[in-house]
Amino acid sequence: MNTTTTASGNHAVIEARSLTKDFRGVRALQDVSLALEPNRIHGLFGRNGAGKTTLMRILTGQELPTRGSVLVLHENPLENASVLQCVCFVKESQLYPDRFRVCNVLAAARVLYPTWDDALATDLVAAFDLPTGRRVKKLSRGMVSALGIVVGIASRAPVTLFDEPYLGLDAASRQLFYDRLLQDYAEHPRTVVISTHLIDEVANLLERVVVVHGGRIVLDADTDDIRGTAATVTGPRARVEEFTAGREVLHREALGSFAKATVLGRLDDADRLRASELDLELTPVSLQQLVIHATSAHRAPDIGQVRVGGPSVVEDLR
Amino acid sequence: MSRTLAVARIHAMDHANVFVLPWVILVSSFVINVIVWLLLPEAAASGSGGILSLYGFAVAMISVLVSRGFPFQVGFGVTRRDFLKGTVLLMALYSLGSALILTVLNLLEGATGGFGLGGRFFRAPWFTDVPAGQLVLIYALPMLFVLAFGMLCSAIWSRYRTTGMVVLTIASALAVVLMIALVTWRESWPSVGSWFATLQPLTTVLVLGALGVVAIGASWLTLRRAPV
Repeated sequence: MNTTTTASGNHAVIEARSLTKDFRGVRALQDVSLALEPNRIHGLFGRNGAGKTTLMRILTGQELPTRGSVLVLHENPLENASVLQCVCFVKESQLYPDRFRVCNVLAAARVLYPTWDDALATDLVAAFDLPTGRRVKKLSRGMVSALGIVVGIASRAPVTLFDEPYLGLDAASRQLFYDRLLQDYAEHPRTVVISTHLIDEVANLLERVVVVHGGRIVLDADTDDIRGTAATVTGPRARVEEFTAGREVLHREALGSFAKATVLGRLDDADRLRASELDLELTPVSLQQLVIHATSAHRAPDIGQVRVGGPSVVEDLR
Repeated sequence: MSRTLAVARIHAMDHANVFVLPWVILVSSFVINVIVWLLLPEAAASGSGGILSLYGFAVAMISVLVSRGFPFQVGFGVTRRDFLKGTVLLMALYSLGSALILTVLNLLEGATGGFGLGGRFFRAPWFTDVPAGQLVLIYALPMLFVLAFGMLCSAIWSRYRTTGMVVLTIASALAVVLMIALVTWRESWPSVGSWFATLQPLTTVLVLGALGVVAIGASWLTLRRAPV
């Protein structure tokens, strides 16, 4: 089986080649290619309707692409039991049988995932305060989300995908999710993909970021490489103007005589020196702000033109 | 095989639906029949269709198991093929298990002279007027038939939703009307009548079993492309 070798020399665990998906005349995905490395945590971002869920459904063999192909663990996941029992897809829209109780769902997961850890599941159920005897349909929205998270972490599936895993989940429980995921990931590394709108919350977990916009991948890079690709300059308006002249400005706001501008491009030592001479404050831009920029434009976003890192770190971007 | 077994096991986790409710329904139907026998002793020997309640409930049971279980299990990494195989395994075990129980109750009813009341509940008229050795098939194959058609309806619902159900209803009605028209046109009612008259219980259930197998095949064709 021929597989793509990623930048760090590992064989891709999830690989999509030129995926296109049409729904009744609407193009949900357009020529999406992607290679995710084993044992890393990936963030999948994009606006509502960008194609994130469609992409994840195709990657987990629950949907057929119109064109293109997918390899998960080096095989086509479609109707492939040996691959699918290594893939755990936690989704907001997961349906449960009406009469199923929390304990039934956990028992089903135990039967279906060979890597399932019962002790961990029990521990997580206690941590999230889930009532095991209660019917799933009687659970609150947040509790249903917590149940999905318990299944996602305790399955220890080599490929685990979370699609909006925490609808209705409170901040403390979300923190618990991040902590427990990271803790278990450290002990049992696996490939994780998290799709969420709460980008800043997960930013510290992520090693790689993929951004989908209008059915295309507009950014696919290591988080370390993205950091520092843009900066915010704050100071007196005239001097901010002076500093930003000739640079691409993503965002600009004025507060009286002061101005704040977000500039694209990696700043070098000379830039930093100049900023300090002009008495301007430079602050790094958060991942969320970069994603907002990459996905707010109707035109093809240009953030990807900042080629960072190794040659194949950033896919062909427009 | 283990994935197939896993699917059947997960279905069976709905204990109430699979193990409890069918027999609660059958027992309540039986109790009503016993009351009738006590009130109208002359009605006891003619028998009733009370046992059909178990077959009717089976349709409801399989509908729930398939319509909710399919998106649930496929969402948990079960392939559509394994889901179908596991569901068919459950159906086969359920048909066999219920047939064995009904056979025992049939023999008990016969041995006790209709529970001392001369009643016929498990010894359904005509169908069970066969040698004891055929009883398990007599009870099991119609069960497989209703389960398979229940599954097919659920599969069509899972794939085509309301549109599918409407088309299915209209198409079935149309098929029946066409058949009646055809028989009337060919003036073949007498031969249809005599065909029914010569029909044996065992032949009938074998035909039902074969139709069940066809329904299982149709369910597969429907589910293999059904969204979850």
